Amino acid sequence: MKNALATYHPAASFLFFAAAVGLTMISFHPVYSIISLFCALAYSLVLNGPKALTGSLKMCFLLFTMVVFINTFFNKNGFTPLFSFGDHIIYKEGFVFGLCSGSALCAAILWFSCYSLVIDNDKFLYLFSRLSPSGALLISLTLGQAIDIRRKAETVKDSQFGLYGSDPKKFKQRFHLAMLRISALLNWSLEDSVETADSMQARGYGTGRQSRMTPYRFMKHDFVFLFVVVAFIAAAAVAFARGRLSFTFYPVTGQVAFDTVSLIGYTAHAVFMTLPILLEIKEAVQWRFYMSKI
Amino acid sequence: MALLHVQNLSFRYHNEQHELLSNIGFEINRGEFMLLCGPSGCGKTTLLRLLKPGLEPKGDLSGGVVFKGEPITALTKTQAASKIGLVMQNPDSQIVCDTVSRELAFGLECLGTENAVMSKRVAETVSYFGIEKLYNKKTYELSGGEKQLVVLASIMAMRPELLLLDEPSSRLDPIAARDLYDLLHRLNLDLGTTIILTEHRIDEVFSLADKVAVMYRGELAFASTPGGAAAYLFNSPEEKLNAMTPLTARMYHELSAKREKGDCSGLYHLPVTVREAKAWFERETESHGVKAFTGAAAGKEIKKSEPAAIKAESLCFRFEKDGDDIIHTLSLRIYKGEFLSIVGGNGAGKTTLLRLLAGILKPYRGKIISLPGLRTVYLPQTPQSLFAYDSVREDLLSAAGGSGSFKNFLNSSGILPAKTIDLPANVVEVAEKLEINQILEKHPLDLSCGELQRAALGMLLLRNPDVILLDEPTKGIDAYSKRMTSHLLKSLCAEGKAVVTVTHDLEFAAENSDRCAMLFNGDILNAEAPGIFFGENMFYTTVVHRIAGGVMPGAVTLKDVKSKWL
Repeated sequence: MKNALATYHPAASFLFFAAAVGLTMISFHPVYSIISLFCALAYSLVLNGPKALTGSLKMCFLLFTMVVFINTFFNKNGFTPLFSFGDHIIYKEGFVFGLCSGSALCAAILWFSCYSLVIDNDKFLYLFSRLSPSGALLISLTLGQAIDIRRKAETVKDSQFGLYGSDPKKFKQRFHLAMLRISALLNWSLEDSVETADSMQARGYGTGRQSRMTPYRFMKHDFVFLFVVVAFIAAAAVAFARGRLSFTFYPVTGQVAFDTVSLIGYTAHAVFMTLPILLEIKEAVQWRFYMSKI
Repeated sequence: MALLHVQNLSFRYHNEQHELLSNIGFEINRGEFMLLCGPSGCGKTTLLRLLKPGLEPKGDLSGGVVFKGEPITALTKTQAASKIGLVMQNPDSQIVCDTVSRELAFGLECLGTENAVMSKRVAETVSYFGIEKLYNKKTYELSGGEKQLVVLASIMAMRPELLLLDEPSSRLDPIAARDLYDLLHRLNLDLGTTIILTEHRIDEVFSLADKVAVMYRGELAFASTPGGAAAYLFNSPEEKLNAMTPLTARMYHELSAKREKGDCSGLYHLPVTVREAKAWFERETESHGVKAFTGAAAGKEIKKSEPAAIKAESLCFRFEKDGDDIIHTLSLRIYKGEFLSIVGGNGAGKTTLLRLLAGILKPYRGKIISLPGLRTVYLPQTPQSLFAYDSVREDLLSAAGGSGSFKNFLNSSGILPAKTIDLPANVVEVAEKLEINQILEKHPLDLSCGELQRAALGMLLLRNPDVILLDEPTKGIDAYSKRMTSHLLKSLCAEGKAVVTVTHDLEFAAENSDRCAMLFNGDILNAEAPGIFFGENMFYTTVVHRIAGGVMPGAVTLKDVKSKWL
């Protein structure tokens, strides 16, 4: 695990992501959404390097453009016309709403993509296995089986090709071969899963209370991080209750406030969202310092 | 007091007439290593499962099993799980979890062990097994051999007193199998773990065991020291038992018999390791001499003037654009009527080469030229991937009818009313030739490895192939089936078909092939007659050559040695 946040206790890092995604969703406000989008973008760049510029980012950009476009051109809930062509009027309200929901959506997707790099299956299962140990085992089993079955499917395809030669052209024959393929795969997988069940039974599955081996321990730095995250969540909850996080879109777009309280809110939001990057920087600086001492 | 005492154990499945196990009785003391061998279907697996509470098959049972002085049925579930460990054949299906660490802790977690205790036990086991590098991996990234080690480690972490292993190496290549045996030997010597092992590939484990028991047709035919068992097997009139004799013992016995011109059935102790056999061999040849060396035994003459059936010209292949070449500038010719074996280490790309020759993969450079109208068939290492129907008969019919027998499929899957179709003449002929006419109505997955492989070969033959590509045809099959497969493949060559096998089994390659080739670093060095190919090697060669090579260079099979023996 290369990133700083991943070295923290799963409970702490999980809560951060839950809060980041949750805040992005509930603070439906142009400034908050855009801050969240940029922070998620920055963190995903930190985690992935330039690689992030392809893949998920491309998809995000596409989605963002689509949401903005659809809202701008088809959202008729506005009052302030921007311009028109023909008898089709474009409203400011639709555009702003599209911009805001586009950034919120993309920010959430990017946060999730970062989440998957910090919290792997094992951590997730660790967090939720307390609720149901056998449920956690089932997930672990399914993940392993899925890959096994995909490999088997490849082999079945190979051996069918090895026997019958090239794929037939006629639909009927192709359909027949496809059915044979599924049937062979089912036969084989069922046979193997009987042995998996035996292997579980042989090692005492179901004999009593299932316990769980975990390598995670809750340390001082986890507590500090968790405390900061909880404090921000509390602050956000207060702001939400006072309506500070909402924004008026209809009938007429409200003004973005820039009073002191709002500015503090924006800053706090930005600081919270950049916490993982700050951790990364802190780690890098400490390492530099440590190396220079040697 | 014996750790395990099996008393007059008989077993019969409810729906079957004959007894699967009859009157089995033996004792095993603490710290003993027992090898249980016998041809496929002799009841080894059933016996092992009767020794593992929770996995015992359902049926009529008489007699009893006593574990540490108490009937095995009296063990609590927890005790049964932890005190008696069982490792099965298939490493892929025994793995339960997606990560290695989870898998190692699985058994302990099931018993509800405390986190601190469990972490320490797992750490201890990982260190003893030397699998630290695997600890942080996902289980699907592991090779078959590594998976089997992880399964064994997971069981050993529960600290069993008795370890049962049911053909644990049958799906592994010989190198991984040897690692597993070494580890078992170490567990037995270092920790005094009592081990009962069943195995087909018995040559290597024979010398590790304290006791060898031979099972045949549900009975315990013989139990004694390894040397004694080797003599028993060799002298047995039953071909299935005789075929199991370890090669070293067979060599000793056949050669002595030739010299004495009489039977040596009085012999009780036979050499079971290469070291013992080599010492004996060199002593004997020193006092008696050998026939003059007349050059290595050549394989069948191949008419190189004939056009090659398949001509591969400087093939290059890799899986990923930025990856290394798996196959690199490889050229190979395959002639009609020849038996070509391709050997090579793990991950040398042997399977990839076969898939290229079969046309499943395409080379990115170079080309494969086949004679016009040539039919090539290919069988992967796992014949079970070929069987789609509920009986061998239907699968054979499907292969015979090609992919056009859609109606058969509808019939058998119950979409159309089922009706019995008479077997066409070619199916009957193939079934007889492969001796699978007794198992036509069985479900493919109920067959033994050897039967399954013969049935798969039958399907291939029904396609009237000119070239047959086989990936590890001897994997997991018993000695007798191996003999049958050898005969069959040779007779196919005599009919003018080309057989290409990729194998780890050097004895099999040396005894049967016309040419052997080694795949190394993505290229085939050169294909030569087995006498020359193995005769020049020192490590990577047959057991016979390792024993006799010093005195008889170029003798790589027992037949070669016998021809020069005085």
